[in-house]
Amino acid sequence: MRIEGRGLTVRYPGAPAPALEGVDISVAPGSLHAVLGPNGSGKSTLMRALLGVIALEEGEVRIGDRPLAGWRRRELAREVAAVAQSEAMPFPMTVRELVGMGRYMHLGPLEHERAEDRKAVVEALERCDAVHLADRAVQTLSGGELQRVRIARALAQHPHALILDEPTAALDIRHEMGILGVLRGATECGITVVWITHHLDLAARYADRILLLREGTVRARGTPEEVITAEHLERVYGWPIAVAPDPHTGTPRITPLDPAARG
Amino acid sequence: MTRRTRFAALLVVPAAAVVLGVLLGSEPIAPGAVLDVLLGGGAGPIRTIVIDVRLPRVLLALVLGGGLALAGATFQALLRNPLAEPYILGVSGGAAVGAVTLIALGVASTTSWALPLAAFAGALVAIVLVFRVAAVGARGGHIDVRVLLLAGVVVGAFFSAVIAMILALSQARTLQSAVFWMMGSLTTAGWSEVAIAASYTFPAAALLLSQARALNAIAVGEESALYLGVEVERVKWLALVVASLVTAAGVAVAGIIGFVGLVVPHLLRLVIGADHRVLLPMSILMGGAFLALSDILARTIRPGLEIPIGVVTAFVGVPIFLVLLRRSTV
Repeated sequence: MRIEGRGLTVRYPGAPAPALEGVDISVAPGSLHAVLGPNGSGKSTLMRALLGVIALEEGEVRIGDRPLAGWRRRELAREVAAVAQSEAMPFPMTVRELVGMGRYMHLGPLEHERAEDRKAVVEALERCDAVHLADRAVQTLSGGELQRVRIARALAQHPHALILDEPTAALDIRHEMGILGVLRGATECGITVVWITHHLDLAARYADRILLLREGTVRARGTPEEVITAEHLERVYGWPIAVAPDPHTGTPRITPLDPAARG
Repeated sequence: MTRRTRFAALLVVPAAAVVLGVLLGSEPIAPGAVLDVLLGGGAGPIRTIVIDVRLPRVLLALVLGGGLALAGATFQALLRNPLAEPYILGVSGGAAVGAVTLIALGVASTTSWALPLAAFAGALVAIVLVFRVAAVGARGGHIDVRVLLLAGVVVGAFFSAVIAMILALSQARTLQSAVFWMMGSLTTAGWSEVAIAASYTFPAAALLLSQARALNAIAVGEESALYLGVEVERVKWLALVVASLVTAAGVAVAGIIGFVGLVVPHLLRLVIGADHRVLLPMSILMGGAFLALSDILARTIRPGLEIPIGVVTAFVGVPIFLVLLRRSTV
């Protein structure tokens, strides 16, 4: 499923500058597309714009074969799953119930969960190494555990595209690599993945294409080798950065320099 | 205890409330005589008391309590805050102003089918007003729920003043007392009140129950709910309006009864969890039981004298509100 945005411009009410300005993005079916950029560069706004959560001042989004406006929410949720940066957990709820919400869009209003829905929930928890958490109350989870559970909910939707906002931000190395394995595995099954992250090294290693944002505009786009260069990164992040091939993986590796120590 | 046994245990409560409500009263009637009447026998004053006084009163408590708890659970899901409740949000106050105004103008009597609609209009005015007041302090379009609750309390206090003023200035002799409207009462309960309250509450309950999954999703956040396929704006407005209508129907019949919508869903969540497919129907049942039991207390604690029912619910509700407030991290 292709995800495409053209000339996306978003302005939050009361904000002097647009949060996104004329951003183009095109994510090929079955590819892993990383979106990078400093804090406040518009990454999360881009996700909301692609999913129709905020109004566009200009531009248009196409999901699959249709413009975004042609999708009903329920239909869209069957095709595209998304994990927002955070959510509220004001009421007691088990992990199984939370992940079970990933099946809502497949059920009629009065229809009960079927065996296949329960199976989808357990499988998704297994893929995120969280099946042992199934009967825990979500309030008792650590930040990283909750994050894995929320990714599991997106997987339980059985979508054809995934959009994730910093999905591995709270995860330890083992679980971060586990989730990246899940995302790579998803692309091999033809699922389109948009991955918002601050993890430049991992993006360089795992993404097929990278979009680099700053102040709501695209500063670089292309393959990891094209985008992850000292020149691009220093300009976008405003910090001296060295880039060299990683001896183990051969992909670009980032080293933030210390200007004071460098003299 | 498994979930199933917990449900079974909970269902004993409304059943017990109904039995006690029919058996107990200021007039001592032997249980055997009550049973006799219920089975179609009995005659004279005993029959009148059981069939036309106690029975409708218990049923009215069930319907109103169920409606208030349902409205409370709904507001809490929409605002993602366990403190949200029709009384705290000022919705009940607005409804009472609507009802009192219509009566004072001589347009409707207290047992009018139109009275809930006037109360409904007042409830909607209250909601718009409370959200407007809260939005003044909002940054980036995000309303702080604490400010919203504060606005609800202040607007509610203002509505109380308005009710007192209308009652003081009004010429209408048919008016209930200010205490009736501000602290609630089931003293006027008769079969027509039951019919009015039920005819508004049942369809509204069916509508809200059909949105239970959507409310589950909205309770974790509107953005996530959209990603899960919920038409958030539509569900939000539908649920707000319907919960207000339920509240209004209750207020029109029995005045403002606070805290039912706070106490019942909160206690239920501790026992059965927060899945609205279970929480909403159980709120209806247990809210009804809670109000029926409160009413028994209100009318039997001092024989021959009735305490306003809102006093009883406040005595239970305020401590729970304070506990929740302390624990709330929003």
